[in-house]
Amino acid sequence: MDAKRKFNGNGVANGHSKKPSKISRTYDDDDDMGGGFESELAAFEAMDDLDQTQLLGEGPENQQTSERWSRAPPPQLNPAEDRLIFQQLDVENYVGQPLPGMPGAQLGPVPVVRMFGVTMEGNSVCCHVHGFCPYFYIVAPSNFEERHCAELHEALGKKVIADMRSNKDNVQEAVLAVELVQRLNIHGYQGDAKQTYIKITVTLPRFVAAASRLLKTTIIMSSFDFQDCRAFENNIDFDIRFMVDTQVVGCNWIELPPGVWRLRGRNSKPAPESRCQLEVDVAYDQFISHEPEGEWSKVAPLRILSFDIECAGRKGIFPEAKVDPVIQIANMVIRQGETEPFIRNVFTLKECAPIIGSQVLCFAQETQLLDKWGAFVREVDPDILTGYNINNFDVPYLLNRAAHLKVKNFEYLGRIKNIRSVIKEQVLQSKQMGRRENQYVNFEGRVPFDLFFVLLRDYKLRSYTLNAVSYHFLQEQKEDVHHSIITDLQNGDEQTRRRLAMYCLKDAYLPLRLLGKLMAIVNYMEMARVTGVPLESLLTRGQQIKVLSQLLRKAKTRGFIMPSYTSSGSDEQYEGATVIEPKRGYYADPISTLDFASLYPSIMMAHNLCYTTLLLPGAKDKLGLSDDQVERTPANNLFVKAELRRGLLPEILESLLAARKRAKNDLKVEQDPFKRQVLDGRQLALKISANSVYGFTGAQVGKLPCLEISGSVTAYGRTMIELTKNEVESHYTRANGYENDAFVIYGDTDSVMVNFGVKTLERSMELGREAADLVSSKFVRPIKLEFEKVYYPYLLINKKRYAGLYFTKPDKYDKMDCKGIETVRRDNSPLVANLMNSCLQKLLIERDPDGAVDYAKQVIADLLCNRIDISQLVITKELAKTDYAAKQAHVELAAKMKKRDAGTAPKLGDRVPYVICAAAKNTPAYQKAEDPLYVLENSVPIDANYYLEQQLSKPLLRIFEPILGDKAESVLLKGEHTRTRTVVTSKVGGLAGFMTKKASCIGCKSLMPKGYEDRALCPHCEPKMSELYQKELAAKRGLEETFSRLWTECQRCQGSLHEEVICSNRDCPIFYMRQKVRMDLSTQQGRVQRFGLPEW
Amino acid sequence: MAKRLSCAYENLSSSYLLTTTDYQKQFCHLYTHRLAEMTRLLTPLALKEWGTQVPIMKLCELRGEQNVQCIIIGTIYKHQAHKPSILRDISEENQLAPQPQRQNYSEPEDKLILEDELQRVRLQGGEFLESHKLATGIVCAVKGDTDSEGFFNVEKILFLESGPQKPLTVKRNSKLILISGLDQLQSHNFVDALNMFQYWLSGCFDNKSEAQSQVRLIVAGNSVRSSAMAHVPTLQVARHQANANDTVQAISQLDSWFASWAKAIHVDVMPGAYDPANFMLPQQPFHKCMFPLAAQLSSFQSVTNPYICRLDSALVVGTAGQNITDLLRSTALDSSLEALRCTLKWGHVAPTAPDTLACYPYISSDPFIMKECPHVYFAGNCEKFETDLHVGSGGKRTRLVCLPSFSKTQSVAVIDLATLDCRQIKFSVETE
Repeated sequence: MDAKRKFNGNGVANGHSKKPSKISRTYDDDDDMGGGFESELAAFEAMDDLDQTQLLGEGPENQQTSERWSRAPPPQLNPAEDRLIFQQLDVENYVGQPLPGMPGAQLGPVPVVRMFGVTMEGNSVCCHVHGFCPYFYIVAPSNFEERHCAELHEALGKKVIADMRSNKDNVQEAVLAVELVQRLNIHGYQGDAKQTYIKITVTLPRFVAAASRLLKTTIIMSSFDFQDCRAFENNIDFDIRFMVDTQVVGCNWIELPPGVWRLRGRNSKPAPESRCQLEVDVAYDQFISHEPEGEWSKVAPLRILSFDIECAGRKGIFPEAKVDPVIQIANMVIRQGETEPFIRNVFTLKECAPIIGSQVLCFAQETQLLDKWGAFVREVDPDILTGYNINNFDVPYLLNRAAHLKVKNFEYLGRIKNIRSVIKEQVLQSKQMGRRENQYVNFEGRVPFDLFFVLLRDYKLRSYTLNAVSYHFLQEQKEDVHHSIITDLQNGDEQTRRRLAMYCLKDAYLPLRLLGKLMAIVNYMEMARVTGVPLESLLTRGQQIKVLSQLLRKAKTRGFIMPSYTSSGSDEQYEGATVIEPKRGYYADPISTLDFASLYPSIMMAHNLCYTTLLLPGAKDKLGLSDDQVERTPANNLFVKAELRRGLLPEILESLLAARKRAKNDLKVEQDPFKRQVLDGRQLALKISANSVYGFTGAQVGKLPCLEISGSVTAYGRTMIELTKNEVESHYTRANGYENDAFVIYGDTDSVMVNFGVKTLERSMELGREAADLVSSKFVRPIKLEFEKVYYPYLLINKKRYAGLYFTKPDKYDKMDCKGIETVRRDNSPLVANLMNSCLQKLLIERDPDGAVDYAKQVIADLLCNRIDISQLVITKELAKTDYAAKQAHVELAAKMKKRDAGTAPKLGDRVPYVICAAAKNTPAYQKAEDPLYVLENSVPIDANYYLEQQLSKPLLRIFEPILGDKAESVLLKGEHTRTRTVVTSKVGGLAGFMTKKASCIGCKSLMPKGYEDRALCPHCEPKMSELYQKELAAKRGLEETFSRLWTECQRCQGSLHEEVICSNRDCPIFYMRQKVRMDLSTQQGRVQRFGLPEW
Repeated sequence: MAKRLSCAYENLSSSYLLTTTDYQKQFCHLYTHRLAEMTRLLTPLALKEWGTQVPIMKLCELRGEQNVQCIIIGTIYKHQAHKPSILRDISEENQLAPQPQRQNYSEPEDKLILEDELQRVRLQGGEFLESHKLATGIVCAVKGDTDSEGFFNVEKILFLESGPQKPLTVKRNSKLILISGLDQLQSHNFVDALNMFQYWLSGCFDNKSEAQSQVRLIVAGNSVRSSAMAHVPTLQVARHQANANDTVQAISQLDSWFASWAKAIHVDVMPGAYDPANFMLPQQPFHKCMFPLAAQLSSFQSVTNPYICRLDSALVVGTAGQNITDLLRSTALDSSLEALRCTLKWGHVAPTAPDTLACYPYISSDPFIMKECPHVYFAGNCEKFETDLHVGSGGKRTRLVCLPSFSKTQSVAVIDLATLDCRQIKFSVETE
């Protein structure tokens, strides 16, 4: 009750705005540098107050405490007269009891598909779809006829039931139907004559695997042997099967026409099971699934909840749910399509001072906090849950903590009343991202959409911390509080907790801003629609499922079925994309680039490459095909021509590319910014999908790899690049009246760089366009060579490594384009990226190769003389596990730091920043890593040679070799500028313990003679005192200025003048600088003071 | 030394002398102390001015409520989009093309925020608030109310106004001479003017009686140079500037000037923004070793910047001008004189320190608060000579002087400590 009173109190405090709401203008992306998040929050429109009416008719868990929180009540619907239309977001299935009047098995248990969604009015919907049953095919053994079906039905049914370890659901019927059907095998052309397959329909999804296994391993019928009968489509997920068969694609609109659906209400049977406002039943063949085109491409006002939790950890230990309390949870809820969240609040443990613009809900007990938060989630009823790394941290932590504290009903966070959200381990293996272990929590009907995963999938960044990401995309630094301080703030007073709440709110808010900026929700939704898979699977699964879903849909309409393929994990390699050997160099003349538009998709379309058109060895003769009916690919595979049979993959690609073209055309005319976003997301999704079709055929641990296709695609690609080269070089010659002989200097997967030997951009563009048309005419449609850009100048380093100034129009360059150059690699220090960037800018934009060389030399000299800021030298790696087989620098360092101070040492999952320090000869690199702060505080010398040789030299030589040739190394790495070195003396380790510090003269560094120990200068230098003193002072001046600028910057950034800066954001470029300047200034002050105080 | 009027002298700048230093501290302590000290001084003023009807409150006591009439005492923070930022300077994008520093970054869009011990609130008050004339770091009391948008509507604003003033009892016409911007590196341009100044100082222009009334000369900064050395931003930590020989030479020239002046009159030399002294305010006196000749004379001394002294009963406070320059960059104040007057009204010599003006991270005091109202308040190295007799509340009279730099104008200011009259004397030798 206490908590409730609190709700009220704050509600009044925050509310009563009768003025028209004001959308803050300060919200533009880069407007706010340091005005403080606090004033941003304050500028949000004021909140309505809460009222405490209870919604009648719902179960005890679903309370309505606030009009702002709850969804608007749904309209009164009459299933007999009204239609129900909603956008589905999640499709899943469960095992339930049959509903009388619905198709499918009439004896339980049966699978029921559940679709969750939202109506255009913002009401949540749960739709139970009945009667859809899982099935698969096997090849019918010879002589197997219709009359055998019944026997097989019965025999298999018994076997499956007997095979079950327990039968607590009381399954009486396992196999629902066995029938003979005529289908075509998708893999390999065998003419148009269909073969006979046995379609086996079972009652529950899990019986698909069981039945096909039993058919393979046991004797079902004495008269037939099914062991060699290949199974088809027995490895398709039930949800995908359902979506394919009912033409439902991810996030599309579902319409239930009047008279076919039933509404569940208070007294209905079955009773409502969900927390959705509308819960309905329908048969799987009675609803309309709208294609996401035209009117049906709209998006419902989804509710997106972004949240962030803070825990009070103990020093040195990563928070453990069994011990460390959750102290704050900040929440922001936005409606898709709107710009500002309409719910902003923070749940805090213990009193917290109010925050203008946000609701503060304080609780004395942690159990209350968790309990109310759970209720809050259920009441807000979000469709999408987001945040930063919520899947692996926040959500599991909350669940574990609530379980530990025995908070009743907390774990019911999903939309099904009786289903708890539980944590599961999930391993995702994909070519794109490698192997990742994740935690997965189910929220029936709500889609967990972790921004962290989105970024990890779609963007290649140096660092994925929220700080780094928001700096990268929003150009904002974010104050970061080290976990060791959080507990102190929590244990302070209501003001320190308010300070914490501000961070927490910001961390909940940033994911929403980023999602908006990156248009992630819209793009993913379009991707789901295009590829037909549920939204959630886009984040939890790889690329393959998307192509599979499309292929199944296409195959179904044409009577094809897919064999199940068990990955053999073979290492069979096909030759990859080729490149024309680069003619390395620095080209000061314009280089025209000709690109094949969507090369691989167009090859597949042009040459009709598909599973269904592939001629397996011997098939040509067997089918008696003539040579002009087939095409032999450069990889020596045979495919039938489109006249004989149009392939499925080409058709899929065609519709994808046609759809992309439509989307692009719509985009051109669309004015509404939100619709433009949708369309742009759509065209991008279509492009990515088209490209992933090729990958699907080449994926060796895939559902259906076909190296004949992927190998042929790349082989065609190679010959086309070759052909282009020959065409261009033979046509554009002096002999044919052109300025110069053209040379193809480089060719990559789908582009060719041509040096026409002309001097102006205009002319090179003109020739580029001409050449593109000329070469295109030689290829089969739809393969098309396009002129896209000119590089001017162009630095060609090696295969897949080049840089150039990118022009699409003659007057101004578009950008500096760098490929394969160390500008983003994460395992390098920022020094490398920055130096490369600066050198390339000098080379390409300023066209000053000498300046670039000088600059590189200068930086090298600075490195050797210890003048490089340490933040430039920091290398960062994630501490993923501590028992790597090979010793790793960051792991060793983490162990070392733990010994020093367990409180601040990096924990598992943290990113460990380190620098490489000088050590005795032959010390392995992994022992030379050191904490940058420790290095600063103890003046540990940096291993400049490591940075020069291991980090800088290779990339530098690469970009300078085309310019300097063989002497690059001697000029850059061995010149005069490398002769002066400064080595600092460490305060720790090695010989430091044996050293005694003796006073030396500041002027000449000689040891002070007796009687002079406490002076600054030796007798010899004393006459020059004024000069030497000024020199020391000048050094101090510089440091003082830097000190002031750095620390006032932090004071401003944190948004408070009177509070101490506690930020520990190591990604911030000034984090180490400000520490270093402290040290340096103190040291320098010491030197100055040896001259004595300026007393008069 | 020639015979001169005697004048009691007291150096009151000891609070600016740093005997120990600690650079592990942050700037919040300075702000905190400033707020605490000035709140203590402002509270009785606010009560006197506005009575007790309207309560003095903390922002946190408002608990987000609206339409509450109250008085808040806090520190002003001005959010300015183009405030110099080291973060922006070093960000990769700008690495090769550093943005030129703006001469003035005050803009109509600047946001005014008031921060008390714990919280912040946006201030709003239209024309009357003159937010473009306010700066970060000022402590003030505002009367007004909160609104639903989270703003505080200011109706009245009250500043400290530099404490009480002791009566001025100087009878004799003793005169104080102020000079700034000797810029010895450029002295070849005005060496004649300097010579003339020296003759005048020692009464060689048939001005013996005038010279006798002159009791003290204050050299207000930038004696060695008056512009910054070229600064090259690079990837690296700021490289130590090689200390050019010419600076050393300039200082030895200065030494001889000072030595000869000090033979005639008491000379106090303050360091300035570009002099070889420390960078942060308060700047410490020059080291004796830099002026081996002058240092032998008891009438010569180097003092801190800012500098406070009492001459007979006249309290003289002044700076070498950094506080004024910085204010002019961050506000829309249109003259040095106005800026100087404002700092007096605000009761703080350098409100923008430490935000945009470098200053030592004091932990338990703010020596820049003006607890006693000066009779003479000057700033060196201004654009031009400006002066005014400012009359504050309760008839406090303060002579404001903006000293131009000698190298540009060849002029000095002479202030009569009894009447607080002030005039400029030019030593320009150009033929007109």
